Amino acid sequence: MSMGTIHKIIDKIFFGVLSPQNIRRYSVAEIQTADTYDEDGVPLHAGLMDGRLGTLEPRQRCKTCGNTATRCPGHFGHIELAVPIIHIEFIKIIYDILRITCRNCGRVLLSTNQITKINARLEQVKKLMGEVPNQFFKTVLKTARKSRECPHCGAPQYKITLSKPTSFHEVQEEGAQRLTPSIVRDRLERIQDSDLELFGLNPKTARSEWMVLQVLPVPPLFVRPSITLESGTRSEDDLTHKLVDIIRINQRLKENMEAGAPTLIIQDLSELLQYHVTTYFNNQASGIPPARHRSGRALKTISQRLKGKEGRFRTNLSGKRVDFSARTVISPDPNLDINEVGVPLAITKRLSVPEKVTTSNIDEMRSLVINGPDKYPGALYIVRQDGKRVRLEFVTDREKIAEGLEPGFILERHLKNGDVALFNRQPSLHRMSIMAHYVRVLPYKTFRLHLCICPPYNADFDGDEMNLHIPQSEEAQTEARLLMQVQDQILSPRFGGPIIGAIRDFITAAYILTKKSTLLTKDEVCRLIVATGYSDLLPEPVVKEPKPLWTGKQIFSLFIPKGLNYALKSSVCRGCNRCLREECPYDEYVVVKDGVLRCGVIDKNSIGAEQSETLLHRIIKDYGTQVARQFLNHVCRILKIFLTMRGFTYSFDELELSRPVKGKIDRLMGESEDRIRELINTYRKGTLQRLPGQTLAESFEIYVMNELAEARDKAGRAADKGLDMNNSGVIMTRTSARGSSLNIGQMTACVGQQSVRGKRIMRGYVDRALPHFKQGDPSPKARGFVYSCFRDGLDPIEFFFHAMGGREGLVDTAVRTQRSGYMQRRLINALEHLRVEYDQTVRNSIGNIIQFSYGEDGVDPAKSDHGKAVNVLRLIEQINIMMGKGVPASKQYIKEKIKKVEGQLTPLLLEELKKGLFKADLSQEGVDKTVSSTLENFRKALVEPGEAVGVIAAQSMGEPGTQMTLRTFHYAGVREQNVTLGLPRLIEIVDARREPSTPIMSIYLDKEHRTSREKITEVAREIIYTTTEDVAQSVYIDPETDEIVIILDPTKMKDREVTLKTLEEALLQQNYTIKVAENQLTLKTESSKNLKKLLGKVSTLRIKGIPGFRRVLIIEESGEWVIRTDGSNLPMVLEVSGIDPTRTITNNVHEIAGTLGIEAARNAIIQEAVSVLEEQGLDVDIRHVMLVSDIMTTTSQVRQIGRHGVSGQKDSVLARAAFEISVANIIQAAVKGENDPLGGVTENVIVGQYIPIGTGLVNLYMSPTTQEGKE
Amino acid sequence: MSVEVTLDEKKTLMLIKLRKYKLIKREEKKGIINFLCEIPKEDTKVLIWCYTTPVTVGVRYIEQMSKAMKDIEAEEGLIVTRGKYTPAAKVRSVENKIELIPRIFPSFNIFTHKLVPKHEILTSKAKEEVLAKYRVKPYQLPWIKTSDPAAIAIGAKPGDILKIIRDSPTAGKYISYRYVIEG
Repeated sequence: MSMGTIHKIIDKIFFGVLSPQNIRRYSVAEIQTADTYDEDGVPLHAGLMDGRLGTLEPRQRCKTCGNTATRCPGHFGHIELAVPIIHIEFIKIIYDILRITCRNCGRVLLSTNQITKINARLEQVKKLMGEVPNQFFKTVLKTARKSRECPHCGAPQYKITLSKPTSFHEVQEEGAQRLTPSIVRDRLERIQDSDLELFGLNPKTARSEWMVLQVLPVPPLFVRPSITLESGTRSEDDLTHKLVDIIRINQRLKENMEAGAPTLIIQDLSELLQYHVTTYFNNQASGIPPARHRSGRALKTISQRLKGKEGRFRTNLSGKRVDFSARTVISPDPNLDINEVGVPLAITKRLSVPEKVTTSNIDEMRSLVINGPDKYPGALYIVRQDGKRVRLEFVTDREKIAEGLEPGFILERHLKNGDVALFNRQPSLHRMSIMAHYVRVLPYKTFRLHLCICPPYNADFDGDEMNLHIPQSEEAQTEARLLMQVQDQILSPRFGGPIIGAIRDFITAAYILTKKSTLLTKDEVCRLIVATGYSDLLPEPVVKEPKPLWTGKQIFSLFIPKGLNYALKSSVCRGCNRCLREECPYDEYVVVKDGVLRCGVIDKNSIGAEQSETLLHRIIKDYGTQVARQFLNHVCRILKIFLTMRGFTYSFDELELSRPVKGKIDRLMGESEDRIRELINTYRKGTLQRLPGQTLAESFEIYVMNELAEARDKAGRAADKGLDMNNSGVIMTRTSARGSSLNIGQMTACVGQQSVRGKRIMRGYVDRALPHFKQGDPSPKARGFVYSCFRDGLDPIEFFFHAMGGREGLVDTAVRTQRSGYMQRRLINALEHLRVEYDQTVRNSIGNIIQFSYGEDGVDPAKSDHGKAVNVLRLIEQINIMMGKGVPASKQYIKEKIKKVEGQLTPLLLEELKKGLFKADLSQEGVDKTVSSTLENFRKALVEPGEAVGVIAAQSMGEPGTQMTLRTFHYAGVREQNVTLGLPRLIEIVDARREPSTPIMSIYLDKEHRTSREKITEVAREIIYTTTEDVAQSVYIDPETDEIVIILDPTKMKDREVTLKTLEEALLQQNYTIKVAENQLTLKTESSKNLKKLLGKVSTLRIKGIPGFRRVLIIEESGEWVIRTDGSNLPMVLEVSGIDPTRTITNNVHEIAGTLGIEAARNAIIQEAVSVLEEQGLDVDIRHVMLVSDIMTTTSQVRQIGRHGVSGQKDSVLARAAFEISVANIIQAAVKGENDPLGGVTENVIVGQYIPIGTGLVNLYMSPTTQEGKE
Repeated sequence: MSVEVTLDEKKTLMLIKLRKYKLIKREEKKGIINFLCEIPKEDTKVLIWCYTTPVTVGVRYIEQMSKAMKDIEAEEGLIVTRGKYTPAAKVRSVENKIELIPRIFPSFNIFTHKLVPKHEILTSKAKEEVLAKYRVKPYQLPWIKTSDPAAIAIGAKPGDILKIIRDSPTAGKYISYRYVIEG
């Protein structure tokens, strides 16, 4: 912001339709010539390039405003159209209006009585709901459309049809009559203002007749600049081309009309003009061939300019290009600090930072000026106090200029060590994708970063590139330093744990360093320690003779903050039945006492990234981010040196298994082959037991797949047992540094089953996958089971199958990134404008309340302790150690103490506090301290006003989407039941689909029925949908007697508990007679006409059960019997006797909303989303899910996250237009005369203002006068 | 109550209980049970017709009922049935202050369901307090429709504000409000 410019703030943007008068008023020139330039290249007067429309040439002055190209805003011209032309984008609205207004008097086709009623209702609704929903106007349209006669003048009304794209016809008795645009315009003109308001139009901003054009505005040159090609020929913009067409036809039409040409010609020309104007606005309108360039390329006209990803909104308005940025390949550098970024010298010389010259830095500044732009450290520009810029590149005598430097000048100098920079890697899925780093100038050509910050950026070094931005103003730099520094981002708001931490080799190294057998000589210890700049005394060596030796634990302990106490199970922990804790014989229980690692090995569970409740997590929470940063720096540097010193490799030899193990694996494989042969036999014989709801072939596949999966697991486990902790691969997997035991099993034992679409590989040839097998061969080998391991190598067939499976994996990843990317875009758009207000409520851009307290407790997950506001138990533990033993406080005292802080803490915390204190036996002093600390920590953990909680929630749900599986089906408890899970299910939830792809109910039983299997089967039989077919052997028409015969199946009937009587009763209601015989029913009709139809009806007739339930399973769940169903019908199930209606649920959110209400639906959405995320092993704080659920349900309906729901109902026109369907949104806004209050994020980005969220929310308010007597 | 209670009567009784109506008179006719209730404090009478057979409620039923309401000076009416309502009946019922209970309305106390939190209607004084506390117009609160099962259960009217007491996984207990709108 340069001084002296008046800085105005846009408060609101109004939308409307331009009237012909206004178009003429804003116009500076009427354009009459279809040409652009004359032979000399001078713009023609009244031509499309008329100088009055503005100038593009650098030194020319605009003929209208007298400014040069840079300052001239451009001016509109206009074309007087010879005949009225319908504006294509308004066609739907015009169509609606025509159908509900009188063709004679122009009144709305509603009686006066109805009108007053609607108006009253309008007022009422407005008062009740703030604004009138679109639905209201839609119903008005619907009722008015029914009239066949005008209630005001009595004129009969005819049906009007719209034939795409722009012609209207009126269907009268004598035939269809075309309505020309002038007739349409006449009719629209006749409509009263008050009538327009009835269907949602604002006559002040959008009179109906303005939607039919009489005058066409011609945009200024800046909108359609012409480009000069190298050959010197001019090439005009697409819009100019289109305008040329319009003018040409328009002139021809005018001439013809003046000459009195036949109507046929006039009509033809009018239609042609209509075509050109239509394509000028939208070249993709349906029912019209797009206008093309000579080359055959379709023209890009106004609609196309705005719409879509490449349109104006998304490429230029919501996203803007920036200066002072750089991009290059990244590479790792463990010697950097975690909050540093290595910037190549070449880049530092091109990016600049403005620095003010003061008396204290003037000498340094002079030397920078003397160095100039090419010699580092130098400077690029000098900005004098009067705002004049001197480019040092063009200065010959820099010494002289340096002399003239004065305090107050601004020097744009090269980047130097310690400058702040924003470092970013796309895709920017969460806020940790852009962090503030300190610049470190380094040689070579790549950006360097510390390995610990790879996880937040999701970066690796296989050619990744990253971007660097240099904040220019002091405010921006300070804000970056205060909010965006790497160490302040260690804790992720997604789950309230560290996302930055040690990875890969650091973890391996930590394990090796801290394991018991590691002893270091003095020389080694010194080499390690010196790297961190440690300058204190060395600890006492544990072994003194013959030479002093130190354990790795001692060295590691040097960097743990003093006073830290913590205990955890390490990742290598094998999970014994009874944990001996400190006495763990394998040294797998980590204990830190007073900052000393007493026992246990350090691995991912202690210092790993994306892991909560770790040592690192405790350090951040208890000692702050600076200490944590230093801890990470020091530890990582030591580990790096240690590992290079010791060496670490995974060699081919280490993959070899011993003979006995190999033998065992062979034996295991043989056994399972035998079992599969057995399965094949029973399958061929047909004696294989069928799984419920599955065909025999499907059941067979399931059996075989289970068997093979087990075989692979067993082989893997055997291999795992054959390798010990000295094996490098095992070290890596057990410490969670990299890889899994599955990987090791595949390398050493057996690769296992390859699959495509979750099935064994069967496609390719007829009944076989490859021609090497017999047709229909069901053996493992023929369907893609790989017996070999990677070490020994795959045979060609196995290799081929493996490649098939591998390719599916690649396709999956590609599809997943797309789908989750779109889900995230929608989430962000739906939630971006939400923020926490000063009263702790979460509100949207116009102040509607979404949550009364953020996350129900007002706690910021980023400041929480893995989701909890205060970790009470740990606090008590700490205080216990700190205070030592004293006289335990009485329960009474504790109760009183807690009572005092009631209302200041959440009920949950109070309860926890009470329980914890009762157990702890703290002294009175200790109790006081605990309570006050809890209160203090709780207050610290609260969200700050202005926090962009919506965006954070969207990021926290969207970012893990990329890590989810796309695999649609999974087993849920019961192996025969398929449930959609993972990303597809999450998308289904936020989409608010009417019906989930796999509707499922869990029906719980009341006390009487839940314990016995018989009783529950009874209930299940009431639920399962049973038709005649289900209990009959066959249903057919007897051709001799013309009767329908039902042969019953007694076993099926017993199974479904259908008696002959119930069956008869169910069948009774139709018009036929029933004959009952032994296991056979015969239906005789009076006429044999519709026998076939009746047959269909009879066989699908409901006998008992609830529609929608084709399969019912009974399973045991934590000690009680539960019915699980395929299909869902909550309202009817709730009325079945024997069930427990209070616990019965479905996964269909809409059904819950309908039967149990919106609040239940809100809970159901949360429950469903959380269970999907949990099942995938993703840690997402529940507060984020709550917010998403809350915004989906605030309007009393379950709304989708997307253009048909939340995003489509946003209050800002611009935000809606920027998301999807841009043009339609703007048209709607114009017609309704909406305004955009610019309260959200996108809108303000579009107009280039600060966003009203976070630090952008802070404002200075002033009341100029205090009025007495008034509030 | 007798053991053999039809589903529809169960629904009706549950409604009477949840809305805290005072039952004055119960009359059983063929296929229909009449209840006459009184809303305590407000001193208005409510007539409830409960059809025990699945009937399709048309305009005629509504007319009959509104006549019956006039006869006994009941101001509000309520119909419970297993059958359907014709669209015309829905329109007429609004004019005659007759509430039609949808057939999917559950017969058990929905507030005992683990997904449904407690809903309460705020008194006008409490309503003012809430609006003043958050400095909002009523429609700036989250909404709930009158047709929402929870709203039906407690008999919320458009313009009311409901207090919702949720069991919160983060805070233990959490209070939310919803503004009742038509629909």
